[in-house]
Amino acid sequence: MTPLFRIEVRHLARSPLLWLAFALAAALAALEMSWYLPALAGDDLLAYTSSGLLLSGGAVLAGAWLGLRDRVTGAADLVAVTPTAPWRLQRARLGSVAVVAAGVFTVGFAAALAVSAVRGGRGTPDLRLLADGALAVVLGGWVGMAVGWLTGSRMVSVLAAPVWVVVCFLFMAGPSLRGISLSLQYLSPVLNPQDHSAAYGLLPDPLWPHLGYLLGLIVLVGVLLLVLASRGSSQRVPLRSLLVVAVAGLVLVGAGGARLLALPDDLLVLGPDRATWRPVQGESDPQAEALFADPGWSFPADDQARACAGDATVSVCVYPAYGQRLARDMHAAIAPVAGLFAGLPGAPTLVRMVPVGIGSCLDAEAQVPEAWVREPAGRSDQQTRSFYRAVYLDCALGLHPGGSEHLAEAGEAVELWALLASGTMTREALQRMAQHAETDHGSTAASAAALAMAELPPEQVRAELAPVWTRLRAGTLPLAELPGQRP
Amino acid sequence: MASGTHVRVEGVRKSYGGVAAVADLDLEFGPGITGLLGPNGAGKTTLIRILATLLAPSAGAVRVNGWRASDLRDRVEIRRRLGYLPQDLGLYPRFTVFEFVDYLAVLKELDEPADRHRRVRAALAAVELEDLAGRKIRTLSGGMRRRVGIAQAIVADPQLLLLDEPTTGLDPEQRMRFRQLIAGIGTHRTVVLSTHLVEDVAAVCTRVVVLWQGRVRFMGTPSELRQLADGQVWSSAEDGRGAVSSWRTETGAYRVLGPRPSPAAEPVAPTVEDGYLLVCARSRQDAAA
Repeated sequence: MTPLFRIEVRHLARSPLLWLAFALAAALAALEMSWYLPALAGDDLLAYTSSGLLLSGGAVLAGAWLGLRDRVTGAADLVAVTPTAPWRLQRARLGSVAVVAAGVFTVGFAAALAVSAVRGGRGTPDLRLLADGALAVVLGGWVGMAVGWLTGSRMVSVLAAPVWVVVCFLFMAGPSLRGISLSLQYLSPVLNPQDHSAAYGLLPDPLWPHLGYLLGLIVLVGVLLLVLASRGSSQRVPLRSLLVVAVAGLVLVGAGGARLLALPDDLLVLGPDRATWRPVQGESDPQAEALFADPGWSFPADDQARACAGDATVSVCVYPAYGQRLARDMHAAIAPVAGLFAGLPGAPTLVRMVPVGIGSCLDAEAQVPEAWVREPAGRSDQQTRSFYRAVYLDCALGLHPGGSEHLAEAGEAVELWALLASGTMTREALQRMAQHAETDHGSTAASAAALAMAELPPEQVRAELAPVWTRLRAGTLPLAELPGQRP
Repeated sequence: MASGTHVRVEGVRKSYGGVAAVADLDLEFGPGITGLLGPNGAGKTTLIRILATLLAPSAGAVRVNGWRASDLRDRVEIRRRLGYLPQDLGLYPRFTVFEFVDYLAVLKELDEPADRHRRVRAALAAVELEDLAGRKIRTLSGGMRRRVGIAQAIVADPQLLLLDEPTTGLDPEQRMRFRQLIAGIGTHRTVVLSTHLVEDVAAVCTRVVVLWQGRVRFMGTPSELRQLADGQVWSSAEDGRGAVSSWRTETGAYRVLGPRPSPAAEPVAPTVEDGYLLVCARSRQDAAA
C-alpha cells in the first residue's frame, strides 16, 4: 500500500455521500428483511438487492466527487507540478475507491446477515452475492470517477448517480427480448433475481457469469482511466501489461455477457434433478401453468426439508435455513386442525416445504411453497396460522391448494367446522355468516351446517365423517349427509 | 544542503489567440530571490506558470539545470526540484491542514512516513500553522489558506521555489514573517517571486525583473531600480503637473516623481517603488509612441 493510497482511503472512508447511501441502504434492507422470515440463505439476497443499488449509486457520487476534486477545488496545478506520475495518482485513487466501496458493501452485507442470524435465520449465505455486490459498488465508484474526472462538472457528477440507478433499474426490470431470447435484465450491474430458494439457490443462477462480466467491466473502466491519465506525461503507464489486462477484461465481459444473455428469465424447478428444470422466457409459460393445474402433479421427494417438527398425527418439515422454530410454529398452527381429521384417508400426515410457486397435495403430503411461507408481509400471527391451516385443509378436503376450484358446499361446511373447532374462527363469526349472504368462506347453508356439526364432539364428527369421507373429498356429498344435520 | 538551481529562459513567447502574454523573454535565474514586478496583465503569472512547467511556451525554451521543460522526461526532473505557490490557490477543503500538506509531500515523493511527517511539521511551523494542523481547511481564513499554500510549497525543501503573489491576504505581521522565511530560503535556493507589492521586492529580493505587456523592461538589483529614480523624486508644496506620479503625504507636502515641479521643490531620496513607477511610466510612453 502506498502512502497516497492510504491517505485517499482514509478520506474516502469519511465520505458523507457514501455513508448517506449506506444509511439509506441499511434502512431499506432492514425494512425488506422485516417483511420476510429470517434465513441466512435468503436474507443474503435481500441484503444484496436492497443495498447493492443504493450503495452503487452512492459510490458513483463519491467517485465522481473524487474524480473532479482537483478541478473543482483548484488544486489541479498543485498536483500537476509534482513529480508523481498522473497514472500512479489515478491508480491510487482507483484503488481507494475500490477498497472503500467494497468495504462499505461488505459491512452492510455482514450487518444484514448478523441481524438475520439474531432473528433466527439459519443456512449458508451465498458469498458470491457478497462478491457480486462489492464488484457492482466498485464499478459504480469507478464509473463515477470517470464521469467526474472527464467532465469536471459538478452538475453532471450529481446527475450521474440517479442516472446510474435508473439505468440499472431499467436493466433489472427490463423484459427479455422475446424474439431472440435475450435476457437483458442480467446485464444490470446489480442483479434483481426474482426466484430464490433456500435449498436450491437462485433460479436461474446468473452469479458466476455475472461476476466475470462485472470484473471485466471494472477492468475496462480502470484501464481506460489509467491510459487517459498518462496522456501528455513522460511517465507512461506500462502499456503492454495494460493491453493484456484490457484483453482479459474484454474476454470476461464478452463471455460473461453472452452467458447472461442466454439465461432464461425464469426457471421452473420440477424436481431435485436439474435435468427436469424448465427455462421460462417471458412472464408466463402455458405448459408450466398446465402442469401446476394438474392435481396429479406434486414436487418429488428431494430430502431438502430436513428441519421437522410433529406428532403422531402430522409432521411439518421446512428447509433448515428457516430453522426448527418455523417447523414448530407451523406444526403448532396446523396440529389443532390436523387432529380433527387424524386417520381419515387423504388427510395429510406430512406438510413439506417445496421450492415451486404453487402448493400441491399428493397422497398424505401437503406441499407448501417456500415463497408463501417466507414472505408473511402484512400478515398477522393469526392470519399466518389461518394460512397454514387453510393449506392443510385444502389438501385434507381434496382441493388443490392455491387452485381456482372451490369446495362443494359440504366441503365448505367441514372446513368452517374445522376452523371453528380449532379456534381459528369464533362461533359468533360463524353465526353471523349463517345469517347473512354468501361470504368468501361459504354459503349461509354451509355455515349453518358447520354450526350444527359443532354441537357434536369432534371425535363423533370424525367418526361420522369417515364413511362419507371419500364422497366429501370428491365433492359429491350433499350437506344433509354431514354429521349433526337433521333430515 | 542542496544548492540553488539555475534557470534559463530563452526567447520564450506565449500567445493566446494571437495576443502575446509574454514575448521574447530572455532571463536567467540563479540562487537568490528574484522578484517579478509588473502591473496586472504584465505576464508575471504566465511566466511563473511556464517556469512551473504548467504552461508550454509557444516559442522558446526553458531550461532548469540543463533540463528542458519541453522534454517530458526532463520535466519530471524539474518537478522533483520545484516548489510552487499558484496565484489562485486551491486546497482540499475536507482535509486538515496537516493532511493536505502531507498529501502534497507524498506527491513530491517524500515516501518515508517519519521523515515526511517531520518535514510537514517543520513547514507548518515555518508559516506558524502548527497549532492549526488539525483544523479542516474549509474553516481557515484566506490568510491562513495562503500560509498552507506556502507550507506545501516549501515542504520538500525545493531547489527552485516559484511563488505567485505569496503575500496576498497576509496581515502585516505575517508578511514580515514570510519575508524572513523567504529570505532564509533564498540564501541557498533559487526563488522567483511574482508580486505587485513593491515593498516585498524591496525587502527580500536580490534581483528584480519588471515586466510590461509581456516584455522585460528592467532587470537588476532593487538598488539599481531605486537608482533609476535618483533626482526624480521631490517634495513640493505644489502638485506636480506632468509628473509620473504625485501624491500628498502626511506632512501636507506633495511627493512628486518626475521633473522638478517647482524651483522650491526639495529633492527626496527615491525608493524602489519610485524606480518601478518610473519604469512603468517609460514603458507606457514607449507603448504610446
